[in-house]
Amino acid sequence: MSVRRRRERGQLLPLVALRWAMVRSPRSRDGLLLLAGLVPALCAATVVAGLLVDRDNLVFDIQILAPSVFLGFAALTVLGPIATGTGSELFPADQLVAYPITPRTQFRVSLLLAPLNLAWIIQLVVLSGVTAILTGPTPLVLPALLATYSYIVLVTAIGQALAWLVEGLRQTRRGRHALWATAAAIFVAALLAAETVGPSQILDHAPTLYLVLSIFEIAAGSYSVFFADLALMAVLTPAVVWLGVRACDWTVRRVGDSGAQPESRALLRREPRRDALSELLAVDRASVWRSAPLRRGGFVVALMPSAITAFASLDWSSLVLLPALVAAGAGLLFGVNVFCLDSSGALWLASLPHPPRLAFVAKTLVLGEFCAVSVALAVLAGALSADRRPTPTEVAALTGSAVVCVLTVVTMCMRVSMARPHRAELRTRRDAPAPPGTMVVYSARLALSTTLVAIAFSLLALVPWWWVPVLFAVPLSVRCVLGLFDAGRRWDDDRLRAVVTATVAAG
Amino acid sequence: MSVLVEVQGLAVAFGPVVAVDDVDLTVPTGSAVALVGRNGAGKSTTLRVLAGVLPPSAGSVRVAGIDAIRQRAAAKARVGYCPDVGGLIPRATPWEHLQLAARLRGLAAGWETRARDLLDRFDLGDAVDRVTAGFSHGMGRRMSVVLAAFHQPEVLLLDEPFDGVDPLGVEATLEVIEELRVRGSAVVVSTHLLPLAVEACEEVIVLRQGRIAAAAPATELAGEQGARRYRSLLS
Repeated sequence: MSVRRRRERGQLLPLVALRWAMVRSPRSRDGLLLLAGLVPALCAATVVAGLLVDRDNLVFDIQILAPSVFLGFAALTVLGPIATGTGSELFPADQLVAYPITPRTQFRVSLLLAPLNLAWIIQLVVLSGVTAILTGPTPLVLPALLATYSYIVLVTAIGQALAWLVEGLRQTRRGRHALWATAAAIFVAALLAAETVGPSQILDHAPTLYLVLSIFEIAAGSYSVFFADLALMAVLTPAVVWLGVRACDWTVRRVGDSGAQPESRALLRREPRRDALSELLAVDRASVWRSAPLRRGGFVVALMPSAITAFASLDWSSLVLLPALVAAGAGLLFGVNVFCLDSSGALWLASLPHPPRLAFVAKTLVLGEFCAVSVALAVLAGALSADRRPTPTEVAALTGSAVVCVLTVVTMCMRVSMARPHRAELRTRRDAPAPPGTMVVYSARLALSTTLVAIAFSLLALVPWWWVPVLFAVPLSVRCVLGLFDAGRRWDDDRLRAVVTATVAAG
Repeated sequence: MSVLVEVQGLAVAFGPVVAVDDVDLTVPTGSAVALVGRNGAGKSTTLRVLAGVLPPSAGSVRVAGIDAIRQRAAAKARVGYCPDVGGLIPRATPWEHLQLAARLRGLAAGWETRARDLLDRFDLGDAVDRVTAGFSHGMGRRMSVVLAAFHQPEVLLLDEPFDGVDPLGVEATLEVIEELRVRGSAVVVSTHLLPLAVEACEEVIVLRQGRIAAAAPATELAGEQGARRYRSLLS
């Protein structure tokens, strides 16, 4: 075996082992192991629930919706890595730059980390349940699940391969123009198709329909289509992985202009702000909007749900759930480690004479406005495309949901930023505010809290009195604000601040 | 001659690890002191305490006559600090750093002239409106020195200011140290580069395992003989 071949084979495991060894806290390790065990358990529970469900009431709806659900997974799995520049990394690129990490390893790492994403995990669980409902209570659910999971693996590999290809194209100005043109063409084509044919007609003819039909065939005891599909996916998956490795190889070798360009450009000088808080806010806002992963993440978090809500014409009760998704997504971009915005400048900033609470307030406000604007854009797009005028209770429930979800996210983020700071540059598209496993835990915590809030408001949207959601929102908001004050008081502790500052500044 | 930096019995512990142990330090007005020693000797930790970014475990610290532990903000107003790592907010420009520092320090109008002069002397005039994330290591070090010195502090704390800096940058840093010293400031420089420590300061303090191993006039550690003595103090 050649040295290169041996090196390629031997890289993945040591990297994963090192990453695991770097999770020092026993609680974090236990949490990650629990999460790893929870996902198959949840899938199994959903499958059992799907088998036991009253099929007469549900199966027709599921049959209609199943191709769209499978298509939704594909869209998420392809668009997610493209938006985040191929997704998570085991280690920041600058830490591995001195080592001969092969493109094959890089691609395998990105493929391995793709499931470390709450949206991916939820969809996996949902698809497991949908498959069980489609087959009904029969042992044939097992081959049907095999088909579904093969599809999931294939689509995940396609998502990663495309993401690496797009990342390579992004390296040059011509490539970026081509990508924007392609994205615009797809968007216009989707709009035209939605106008002329209608969204439901398009979804009814989704290519995933064949997979759903294959599952039906399995349930009916016919294996011919199943074996054909399985064989096709068994051939396609390694082929896609091979293409992904080639795309990764091409991308990492490419000499581009995208990395250096924004950092070497002189920016327009702004006027000095009138007071210290405004000056801190200006610097923090610049730290957010000048960061490529935060700009792109903000675009995805705010505008993607806006586009989907506009396209799907959600009703008002569904819109009430939207702030939970958007606020949690916005918080995950940098809020869970908000002090990393200062990065290596944190030590210098801490040496300047100002009340520590001022920096805390500035970070809180910048995070709050980022979440609020994201939620407002998504809600506005959904409201404009809704098919009827809302009732006063629906308006109150939507507003309450938005306010409480934003406050919940900001409070949780500020607390977690102080409790578990991380060194993070947020410089390249793949940079995240915390390691991949930690991000999954954070996303689960944020999504759970905000979803519970939003579900409560969606139920309150059904009552006839508009003041009920308002009354419900007030104590929740007050609780969050008090939580923020408490976090601010803890930030006054010199020792805690020194730990956070030294951690985010460590270089 | 009044004392601008007065440290007594300073100790800093990170859990079971004692980074600084019973350090006494006195820097009179108009003088410069160098802290030298091996990695982990406690130089940066000492400077972080003086800069007010790290609370000590024990001991007293007075900066310009102010208790730097109890009256942290007042002490920070008199200090200029260049940290050992980075020291720059990555997506802010040098000018935005200066604006922020000027606002938080409450500097009167006119600081811009001194800032521009320093930026030019450190050859950063052309990069003043670029985000610092694109800076080389040396540029970042030079900018950190500018930020520490532009408000002409009473106490200047420079942690590894010469690390990776080109000869012109080193020269500019030495000039700034000398200028502030002549104005009556106290300067504390932490560095691994003994010849530069000797050139910049009158006194050199050798730290070893968090304690002061030796303190000597800089002239005694100059040249080959001084270097040999320094090496003997490290182990």
